[in-house]
Amino acid sequence: MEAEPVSGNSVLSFTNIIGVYVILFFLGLWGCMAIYNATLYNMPFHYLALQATWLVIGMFALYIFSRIKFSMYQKYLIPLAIVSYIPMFLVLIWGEKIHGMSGWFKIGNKMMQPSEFAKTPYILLLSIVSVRIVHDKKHFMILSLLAMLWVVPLMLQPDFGTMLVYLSGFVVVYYISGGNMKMLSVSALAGVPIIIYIILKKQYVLDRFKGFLNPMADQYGMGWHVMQFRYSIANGGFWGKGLGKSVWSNSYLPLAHSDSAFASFCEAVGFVGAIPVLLGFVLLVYFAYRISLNIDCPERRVFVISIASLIAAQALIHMSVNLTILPTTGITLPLLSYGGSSLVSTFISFGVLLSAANNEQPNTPI
Amino acid sequence: MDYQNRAKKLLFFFGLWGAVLASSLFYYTVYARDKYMRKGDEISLRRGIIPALRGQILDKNGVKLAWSEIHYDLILTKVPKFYLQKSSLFSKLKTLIGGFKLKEQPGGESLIMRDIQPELVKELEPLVKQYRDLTIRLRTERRHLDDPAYTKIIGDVKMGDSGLDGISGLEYKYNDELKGKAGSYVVMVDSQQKWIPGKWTLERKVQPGTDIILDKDLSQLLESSK
Repeated sequence: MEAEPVSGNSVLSFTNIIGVYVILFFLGLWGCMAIYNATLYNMPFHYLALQATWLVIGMFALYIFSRIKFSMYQKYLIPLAIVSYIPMFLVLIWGEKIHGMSGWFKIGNKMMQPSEFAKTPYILLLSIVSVRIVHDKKHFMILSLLAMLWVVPLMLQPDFGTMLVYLSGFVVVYYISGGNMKMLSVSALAGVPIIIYIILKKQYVLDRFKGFLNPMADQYGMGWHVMQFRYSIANGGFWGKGLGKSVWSNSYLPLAHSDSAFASFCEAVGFVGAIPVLLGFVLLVYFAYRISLNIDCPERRVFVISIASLIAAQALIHMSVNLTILPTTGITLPLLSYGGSSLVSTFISFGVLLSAANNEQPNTPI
Repeated sequence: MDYQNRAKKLLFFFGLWGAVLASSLFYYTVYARDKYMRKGDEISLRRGIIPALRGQILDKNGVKLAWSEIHYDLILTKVPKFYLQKSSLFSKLKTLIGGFKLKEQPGGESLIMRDIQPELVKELEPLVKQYRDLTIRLRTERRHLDDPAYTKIIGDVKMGDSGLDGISGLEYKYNDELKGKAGSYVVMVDSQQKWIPGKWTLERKVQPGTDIILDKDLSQLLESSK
């Protein structure tokens, strides 16, 4: 990597670290309220208690993972990557099929999504490999090959939403570590026929796309989900209906607690309550950027900004889908959607980010 | 520096994306809100009629010739799909009303019990609130003096769009007074077309029909009809 350390300052910026903690905690807390709000007619306190438990576990995981030396993650990168990668294939065989997607393991009465936990090792691997190899065509080939390795099981599940998040992660790592943007653009253009082929080949993808382009043409069929997003958000108005009063999203909006969490939340808290959530995710990238400026080691620096960008990208993709800017795809809102896998894995990601932010630890070769 | 420049551009990209989302959010929550609220109302609101209770017909001595009776039926609009939910509901019902057998009705509904007593209606209310597919339906029945000699004189009724309409005899002659004015309500339904609790609004109050007191007694009525 060409970039030199930005600052020799090894002291962590206390404000930025606290900023990350505060934002994560408040987003997690908002998440608990969002879950209560989205399950009004279906045991809301049960789900609220579960989400609050995951939040506490997540905060604990954040602390533990931030205390582990980053050199340990570097040292055990390969085993970590393998251990997180294999379940993404195993889930295709032994996974539980939900909404036509085999992405979850059923453990007792709980569900676990391996692709959530694989995000951190994936970005860690890409960041370290990206910094350590020479920047030429080979750099792009190796990185894209690695990314494809992780994307293939997601394609087979099929989980296009998570696939999009993984691809965003690859783009960020490649770009931030000094990659050639022309090469990336040309490759993206080459991928367009593949996307068109998938849209045309899979009927349900084509239906979703048609429903996205003109939802009113068939609002009781293909455009149903898109229109329910709009109705739920419009119902909230500027001030919101109030928590526990989201009648529309509890009666009409599909998956109000997971893939439609933002729209459901907007109905309850309105424009004024939804903006802080949006701002929270953008601020996480900002704090990660500020933290990264104080890091000497390029590998850590790339990892810090990339992992925060990956989480923020997932959140913004979710919001874009809910605001009907992007076609409907199954993607959860980190920290706010219901589910332990998503919540705990997000806290783990930020735990590793905080560990990487500590300059006092030595680097360890792979 | 290359890293710093690229990181700044990335940050700018996220900021821009956030701004686009905030604008879109403002559009739906403020600018185009009314439009989407109206469209939403079209699919979620249902208007209904509350039939007025038809007035009585009495002879000059106060003998009832025709009157209306209110009945309550316990209906299950949809039998629970899950075994646990079904067995829990049925065992609670058994405790309150005793043994019962479901009778299929038109439209996929099942009648649990016909003509339940008003005291039982109160006892069943918490269960109806808990199970949205369980409902107590009000039904009015028109009763006439039980004497074949007066059947033709009193006449008959049939169910119209806004309640019972007289089609012959005294029921037809005094229909306007007897019928009263039906009320109307608006209710919000969910995607399964079930009423959403607490989302019921009365649009127009019911005006019950007035009682008609004839200026003849039973024998005079019989005489005049010959």
